[in-house]
Amino acid sequence: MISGARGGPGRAAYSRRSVLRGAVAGAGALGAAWALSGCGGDAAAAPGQTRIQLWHLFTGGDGGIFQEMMTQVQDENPAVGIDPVVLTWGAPYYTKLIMASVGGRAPDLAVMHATRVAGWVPGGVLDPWDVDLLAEHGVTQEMIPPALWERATIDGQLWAVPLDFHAFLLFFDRGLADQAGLLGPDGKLVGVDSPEGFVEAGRAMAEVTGYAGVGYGYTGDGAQMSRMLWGLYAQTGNEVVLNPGQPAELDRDALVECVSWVQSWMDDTVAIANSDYPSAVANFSTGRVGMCFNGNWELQSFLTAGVDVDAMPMPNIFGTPATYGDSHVFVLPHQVNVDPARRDAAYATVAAMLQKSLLWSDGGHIPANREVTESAEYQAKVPQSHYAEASEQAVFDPQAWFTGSGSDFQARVGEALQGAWLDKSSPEAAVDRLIGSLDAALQTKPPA
Amino acid sequence: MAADTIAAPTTGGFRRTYTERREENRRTRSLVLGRSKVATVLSILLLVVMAVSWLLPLLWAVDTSFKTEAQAQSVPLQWFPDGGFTLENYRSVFERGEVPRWMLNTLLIAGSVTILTVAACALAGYGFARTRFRGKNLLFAATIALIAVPGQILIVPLFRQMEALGFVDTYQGVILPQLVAPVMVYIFSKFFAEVPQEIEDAARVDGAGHWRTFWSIVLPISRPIVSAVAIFVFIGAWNNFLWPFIVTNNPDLMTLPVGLSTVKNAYGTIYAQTMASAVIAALPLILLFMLFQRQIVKAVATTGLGGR
Amino acid sequence: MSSVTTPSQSQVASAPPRTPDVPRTPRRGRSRREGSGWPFVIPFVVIAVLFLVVPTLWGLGLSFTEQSLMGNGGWVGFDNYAEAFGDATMWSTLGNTVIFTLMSTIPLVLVALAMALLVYTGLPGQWVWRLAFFAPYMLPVAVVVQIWVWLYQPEIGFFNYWLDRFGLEKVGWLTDPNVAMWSMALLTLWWTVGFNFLLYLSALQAIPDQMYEAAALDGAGAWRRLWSITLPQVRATTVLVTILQILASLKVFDQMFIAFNGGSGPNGVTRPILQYIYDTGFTGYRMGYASAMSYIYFALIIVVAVVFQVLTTARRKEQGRGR
Repeated sequence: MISGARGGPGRAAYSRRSVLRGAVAGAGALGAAWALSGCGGDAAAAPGQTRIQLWHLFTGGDGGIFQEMMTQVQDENPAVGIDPVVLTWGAPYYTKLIMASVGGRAPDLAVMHATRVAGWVPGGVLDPWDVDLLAEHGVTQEMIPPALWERATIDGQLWAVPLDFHAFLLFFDRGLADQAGLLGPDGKLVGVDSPEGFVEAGRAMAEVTGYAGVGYGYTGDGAQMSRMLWGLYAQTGNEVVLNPGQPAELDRDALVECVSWVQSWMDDTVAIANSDYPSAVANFSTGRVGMCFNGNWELQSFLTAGVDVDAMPMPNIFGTPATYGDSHVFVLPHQVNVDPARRDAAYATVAAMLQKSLLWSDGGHIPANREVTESAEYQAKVPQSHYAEASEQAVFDPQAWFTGSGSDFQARVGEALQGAWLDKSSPEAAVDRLIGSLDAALQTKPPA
Repeated sequence: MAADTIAAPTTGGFRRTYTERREENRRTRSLVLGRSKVATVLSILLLVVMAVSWLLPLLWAVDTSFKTEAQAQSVPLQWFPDGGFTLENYRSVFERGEVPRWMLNTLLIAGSVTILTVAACALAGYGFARTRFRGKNLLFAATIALIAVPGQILIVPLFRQMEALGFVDTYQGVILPQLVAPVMVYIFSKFFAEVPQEIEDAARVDGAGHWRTFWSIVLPISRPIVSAVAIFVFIGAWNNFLWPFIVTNNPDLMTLPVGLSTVKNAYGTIYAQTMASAVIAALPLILLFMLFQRQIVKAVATTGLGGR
Repeated sequence: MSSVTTPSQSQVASAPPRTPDVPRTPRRGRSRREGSGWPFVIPFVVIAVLFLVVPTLWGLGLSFTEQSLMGNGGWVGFDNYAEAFGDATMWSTLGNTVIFTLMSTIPLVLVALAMALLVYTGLPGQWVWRLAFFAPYMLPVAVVVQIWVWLYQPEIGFFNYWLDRFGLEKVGWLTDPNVAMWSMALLTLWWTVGFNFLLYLSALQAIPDQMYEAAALDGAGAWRRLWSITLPQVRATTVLVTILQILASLKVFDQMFIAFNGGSGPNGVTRPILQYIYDTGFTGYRMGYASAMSYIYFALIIVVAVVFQVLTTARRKEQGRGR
């Protein structure tokens, strides 16, 4: 059927020359590829140097800082070389990390969220840290805030070394806030600590910017919606208890109140309803909005963009101070054959990275290393010290094997809530859908 | 189809002159459209509109890739940004080195898949079409039945299998499961079955066995089908996403489609640079298509409908 | 059509071959010296058994266990299948897949036909038209998605920018549950229509000139030639292209997975069944349950293929002889 009637005989066939040309070109390229596959890839290791692969998920403004820390660590300790791998944040990162562990060729070191560690330990995809060996490298329990250390310890073994606590903050532009009359004499925002007050403040800000008041990018982003929801919910004084096999224990009315409240200011004046993460960041960076809900990891991108930026914990809307957050931790993905030299290099790297925590706070995060947070240098840092209290009112993702940062469950939260905030569908329906997802997940047997 | 292709001698050569082609286009036009001026003008108009809308996304991507990040995100959108174009994005992509690395991986993997698939399927096609052995009919029927199994359903067990073999995060883990192409065996066998018996008979008189007949008589006249299958398999393997995505976690081993969608850089979402890496990733096959358009068009037509 | 490229088989894989007709073995000129044909088929048979037959059976076995990604979990009988039939998410993702198939197949056939007809009219610059329509098919899916996500960007994206400039309302291309799947279908149309276009073009070019010459003698105009000669002549191709496209669209995964970064789109409307299987098996660690759903989905594909097989066979018989 291809040798068409119209083409004449010659059209149907291939000329010998063209086929040969193709074959030669293909063979040449293949040869080149084989040759390269042998020697490409890993950066050449200097003699006496141990190279380790480190996976991380920092793609926001903090990515550059993390890179800087790794560079400094390598410069100070030439015996260790770090090959960083940055994968798309969220479920894909965790899926790839666990598949690499199962597949037997796991990286030497990886960053993950504290909320995910508990779900992974029973499956044997992580190797525990040797506390004595850590102490030899200068990392001790006393350095780490007890709440974080306890979360990293399961069944008496340490599975994760906390690097930081990171919080979901309210950023604001000092200049714009002043023009909108929202700036108090102490430089803090005033009048944002109530459901009505916050909306009023947003409206005042929108008048100043001429675009909108508050930036909050959430569309298609279950993590952003989870941060807002669980933070606000904790402010109502309620908590979520998830026990496998039982229905979720939570306060439905409080959840509806939180969802309705956010819906009430998604009016394209206080906040642009159809706003995804990058566009909200762009809007705050360019002054189209004067306040912005986002993680402290975006601090660096705002500073780079030249915003006169300050930040505070989540405004206390519903009465109980609470700020959503999580902790980045270092873990050892399970390896079938552990190379002692590389494992030792991993310990050395973690210890050195913790020592660089002052730099890490440039990335916006609140360092886990208390020697850093208690230092005068850190206390003098603005705006970092303005939101340091967030770690005292920390609230995490509800605790269960299927929850946590970047979990598939956050996508379910997003599916449930987006309709209510973007399309103004019923908050009750959204909450019921969320509870339905929670109950369904609780009925599923925890994998191990 | 196969018979046609064989009957057509290669001596005609396809490189017809420009005038010849123009003459033929005109003839077709008058045959299909008749003398109607309206029909001609309408067709041209519609064709141009469609072609432009199909090229527009590509052009916009290329345009963006030559802008700075600020230019890319500035309103109003401009095809020619104030301050001129920049090569900075391309420089950054090459400095990071991942995209060229993935390109080589893809070439290596798609090349191996193509060579091995064509070899295995051509041999099997010949075996089914021209030889006799016990159980042939049953085996051929089984091969046809395998065409119905979509590879997508196998991701879970295949991952388990690769894990058991220790092939997760290896080249062989990416390549081996891509080699099974029963439909290509079917295409080859149809082709070989229609090779005129006389051609083989001549070799038989000399006492040549199957191997010599296949290698020195049948294969040389089968170039059209071999290259058609090879092109088709190559494009498929180059662009394959799901399996390489499942089986590679180490970015050093990823193919272009997988790496581009999995690995991020540490500096946030940057549209202009993303477009630059997209353009680099798009170039090889677009160039391939420009160079071998005729062969590729034919390969799709030959193999696209399962050899019909 | 490479909405589907996957392990092993390429796009065409599930084309149900008309009849498993075993090619005839030549009777003449065979002698013992030729040797057996077995060695010819052995490489393929070994590969096929190792990487198609074994995993197919392995997956079937897995579907009766509650094995996790980490490798633990034993036999549970038909529990996974029972759970799947009551799993609302499986049915809704299956529904999404069917919706996508409808949204994509119709334009992918019609637009391809229109393109082929226009190019077939023999206008100058054949090379350019073919390049314009087929070039996107040569792009890796990640590139296609990155380009389109940029076009779909809510505020400064190409589409919304121009909608806004013309005073129209901006569209939530990737965020509006009523639009997101159409956006995926549009992206897929742009990406893969070139493949169908080429199939149509070669079918058109096979129409004998004499038919048009006869029509010209009858004084038929362009419009009548289209309806009385061209379209009837490509009817068989249309049936085949449609079947192949449906089978390809049912296997959609790549576009949605990459565009939504592994997420499931607004309200979960863009998540196809294959992604749910992936999410269940690898992100949710439930290999056994994912395998069971794979088999339910496999059964669906087989049913679709068989239905078309029966329909086209019946049709061919009706027509007396196939083309």
